[in-house]
Amino acid sequence: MNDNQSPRKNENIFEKFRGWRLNMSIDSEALIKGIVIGILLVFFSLLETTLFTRFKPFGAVPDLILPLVIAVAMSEREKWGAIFGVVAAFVIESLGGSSLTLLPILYMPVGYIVGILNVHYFRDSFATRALYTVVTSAARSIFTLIALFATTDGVRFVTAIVYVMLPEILCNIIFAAIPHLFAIAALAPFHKSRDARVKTKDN
Amino acid sequence: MKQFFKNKFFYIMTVVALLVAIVPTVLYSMGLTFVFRDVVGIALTPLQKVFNYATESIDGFASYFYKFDELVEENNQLREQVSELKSQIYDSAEIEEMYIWMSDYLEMKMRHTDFQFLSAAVTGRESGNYSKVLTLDVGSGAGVEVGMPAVTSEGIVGQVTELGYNWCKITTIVEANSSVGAYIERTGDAGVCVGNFEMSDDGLCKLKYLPTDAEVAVGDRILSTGFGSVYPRGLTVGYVEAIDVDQYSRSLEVTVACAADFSSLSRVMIITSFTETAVNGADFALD
Repeated sequence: MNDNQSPRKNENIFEKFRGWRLNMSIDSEALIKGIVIGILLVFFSLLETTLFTRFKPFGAVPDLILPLVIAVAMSEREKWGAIFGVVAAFVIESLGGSSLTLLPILYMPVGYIVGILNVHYFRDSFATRALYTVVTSAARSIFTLIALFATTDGVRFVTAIVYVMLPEILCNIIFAAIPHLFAIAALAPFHKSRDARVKTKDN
Repeated sequence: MKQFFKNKFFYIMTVVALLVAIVPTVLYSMGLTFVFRDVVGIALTPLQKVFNYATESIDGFASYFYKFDELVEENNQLREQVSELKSQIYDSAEIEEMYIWMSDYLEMKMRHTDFQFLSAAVTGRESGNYSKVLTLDVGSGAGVEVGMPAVTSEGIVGQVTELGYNWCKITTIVEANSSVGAYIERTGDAGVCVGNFEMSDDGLCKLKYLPTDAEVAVGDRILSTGFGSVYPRGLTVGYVEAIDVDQYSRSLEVTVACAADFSSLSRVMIITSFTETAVNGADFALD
């Protein structure tokens, strides 16, 4: 009874943020999750801007952050997806971007929409991940084309399609599996604890 | 689906995304750096360096595998180049040798304008251990005749003693039965240079029949007299190495080191014709 009368008495500092105006709660688990996702973001950002810029498989640098945004959105829903999209775009643009910063405009909607689709319309499966990856890779390559034509003179459209767009799409699709697998593995413990909480509530 | 895009969160995030996209771009175009972008750069650049270092290491190691074909091809190309360069070095060495050879003979030709030379390569040597005979690659087909002298730029080698169409044999002056009319350049004392079996291996011969009062000294140059119509006058036979007195003939017996190095001869010149006028104007004394 007493608990019902003063529910916030025993809350720790993280619990006090629960019920934030954007309906997002920050508790210890969310903070740890954020740190884990941040580490993933830093790791793949560095991987993309060092290893893959050197090797350039199929003649293009794969975007490892976009599948990571998808994976986070699929795992943590639209709000995490959207916020992570903006942060991730900012980080990767800061580390290896061009003068034109376009990725936040892509990553934020991708994180948001994928989160909504995964919760309300599709189930998490290999097929849906593949579908999201293909569609977003195509969108990503359009952004690349826009950036290319905006910053470079004298590029022929056919050349841009053949030597930039297609290799990038191919590369993004092939290497998307790596961030997906890492994200699934890294975020699995949070799902287990969440499932356990749900079960306890149900009981 | 529409309600998902008509909420406060989406609006805020859209504005944030646009700001994050537009602000750095505008600042960049103004030559400024977005402070948060700078913070990210400062924080992650050290890590990026570590990753880059690791990438370089991986690249260096991986290149052994993914560049293997390229390396094999490069290796083959380099081998071919080395072979070609070796060949060029060999050719240039041969050309240099030939150049020296020809310039030496040009000098000789300028000194003896009457000489007609025929170049010949040494193709073989006597296989026995008792004679010093050389086989050359020219013969009667090239106009060679028995008795023609063979020389190098250093001095007399010998004379043609056997002849085929495209080969001939040269009996050297150190051969036991060879003899060359010779004189001491410095004094004009004349004698006969004859081969000696015991000395031939060392490239030596004897200058005999010199008078006991001849002023010969070690190191004196011995030249051919031109007598006998085999060797032209004035060709170097060799240099005095030792002087003895022959008790029986009461004459000096001089050991002469032949000018030509018989052990390393690879090419000689055959004098196919020369004028014998020099003999008549001999400036030596012949006892």
